[in-house]
Amino acid sequence: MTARRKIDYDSLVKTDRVHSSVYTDPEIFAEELDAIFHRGWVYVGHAGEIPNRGDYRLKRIGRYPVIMVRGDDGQIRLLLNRCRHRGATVCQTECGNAATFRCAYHAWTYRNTGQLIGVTYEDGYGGALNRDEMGLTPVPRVDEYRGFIFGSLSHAGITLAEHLGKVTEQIDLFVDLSPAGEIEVQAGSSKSGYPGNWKLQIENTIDGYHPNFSHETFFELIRERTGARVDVFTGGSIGETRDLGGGHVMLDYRRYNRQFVSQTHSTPLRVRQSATGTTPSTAAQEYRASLVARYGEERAAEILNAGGTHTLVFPNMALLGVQIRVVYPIAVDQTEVVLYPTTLKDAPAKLNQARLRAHEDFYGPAGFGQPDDGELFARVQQGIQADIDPWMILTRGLHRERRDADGTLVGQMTDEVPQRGIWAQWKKVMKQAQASNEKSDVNGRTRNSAARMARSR
Amino acid sequence: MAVDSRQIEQFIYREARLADENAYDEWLAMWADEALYWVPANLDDPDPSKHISTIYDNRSHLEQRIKRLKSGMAHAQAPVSRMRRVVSNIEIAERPDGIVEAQSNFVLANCAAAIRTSSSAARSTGCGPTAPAVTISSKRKCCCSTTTALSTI
Repeated sequence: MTARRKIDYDSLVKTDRVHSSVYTDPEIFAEELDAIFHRGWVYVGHAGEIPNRGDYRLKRIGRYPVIMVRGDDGQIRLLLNRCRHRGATVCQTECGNAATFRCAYHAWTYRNTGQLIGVTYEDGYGGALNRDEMGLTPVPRVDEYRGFIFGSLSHAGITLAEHLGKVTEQIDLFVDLSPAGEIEVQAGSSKSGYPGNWKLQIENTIDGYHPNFSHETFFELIRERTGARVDVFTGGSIGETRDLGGGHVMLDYRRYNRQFVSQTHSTPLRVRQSATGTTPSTAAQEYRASLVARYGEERAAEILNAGGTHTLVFPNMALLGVQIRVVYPIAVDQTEVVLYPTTLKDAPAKLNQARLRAHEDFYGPAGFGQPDDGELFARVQQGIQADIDPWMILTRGLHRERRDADGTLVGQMTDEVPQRGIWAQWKKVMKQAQASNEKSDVNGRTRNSAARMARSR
Repeated sequence: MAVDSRQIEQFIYREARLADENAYDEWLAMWADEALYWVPANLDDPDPSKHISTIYDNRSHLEQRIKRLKSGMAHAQAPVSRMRRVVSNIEIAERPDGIVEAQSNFVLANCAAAIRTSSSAARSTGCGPTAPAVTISSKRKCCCSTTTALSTI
């Protein structure tokens, strides 16, 4: 076995810049899958996608095909989509309801809890096959927060609560927009791909610098429709960017919204969330009253003001307005993005319908914004093939960022505080994995593989 | 009134050609005021009030789509995609209310930018009143694959 080149992450990722090989080097991509996606906590799906017993959805964690399923016992599981016999996937349909999964190859059959219940011509194993040990392999660690289901392919590591840290506050605000405190994820999804690295989408999701330029046409249409000028993304905006720690970062519209929410002044975010503008006032009033009834006046106002602020949950999920966004790395220069628009349980039907239309307006493969982002990711990926001057500059706002009382780092809306936060976490995780691998090698063991550990358990 | 199949076919071919040529205004002029341009997502025939669509445009939204494309600032269409829509299997039926329903298959070929070349097969259903002039009152386009081509019309 040839020794692998040791990648020097400190030399590639600095506070104020990153080397473009982090988007183009296939070896780095392989290490990312191992370190970030095949060990740490990764967002997989939402409980609202599988409300009934037997409901399942096909998902992926890094390269691993996963079945997210609510078993007949009501419990949600993440099962590796791999027959324990000779490895074929046992489920092919993207979503559905099933009591069992049957491998088409030799017809081994598993209950929707993962338990192996059928082995064809079983006497051929001479009684040596222990069915109890041969169920579909569960993802070693599964945990959820407010219905958001995360998995980790590693048996050991920090808890989900530790991983999420302060970002739970933003998840709460997103979910509490529902008068029942529950979101529904039954409206389908928008899928698109682009020929570029996955981190381009991650960084763009909380980039408050680009919208006025990349999405100028959209804001012009908003102005024509409503008369409102969208000025939250200007260089002088009072909107903020925030690094919550752990790679979780956000565009923090709260200060901006607080100032403008009571006025006719509107942003796309306001139109989408506050039940004004696109929905009739009776529905808006009914909705607001139901939030006040459940949460009280003060919290209801905060939810309407802040729920759905663009937030990245490191490494692969983001909440934006009405949607859950999931980013799937396919190859170093290929990425798939799936957007799940959500609806609010117990909210007026008109409001939920307005959420879907607002989503289509900007997002999805034919929206007025998202395709342009994808185009720009492709252009970045092309541009950075020219690596004589290989650095990507992340200095914006470095001189004016400040630490808030709660420990989060704050910048102006167009500052690159979120990008710096993502890269700091990325480097930390990559170096940790590297150190852990070196330790394993020194001990003469094979490289840490979560899957091997899971199977040998 | 008997349906003139040839007229309907020519209408469909013309619509495809105008879209191929990015002749946005002429293309838009083929639509009725009560236009509905619907590209369902995930399923062929979901309830659009409860399920996301890729496109769910009324006339006003369709006009905004065109306006944006013409601005030169719709980056995914700068430069514009060079595409060819190949239409076949046209079936035409006239409803009792005078609306003509035409169904067809089409294959969309993206002829430029090799790195982003993609194609999709789709079934398109359009219908509109035959008189006084044919316009499209609704069109449902079910795509078998989503492509960058959806960044245009």
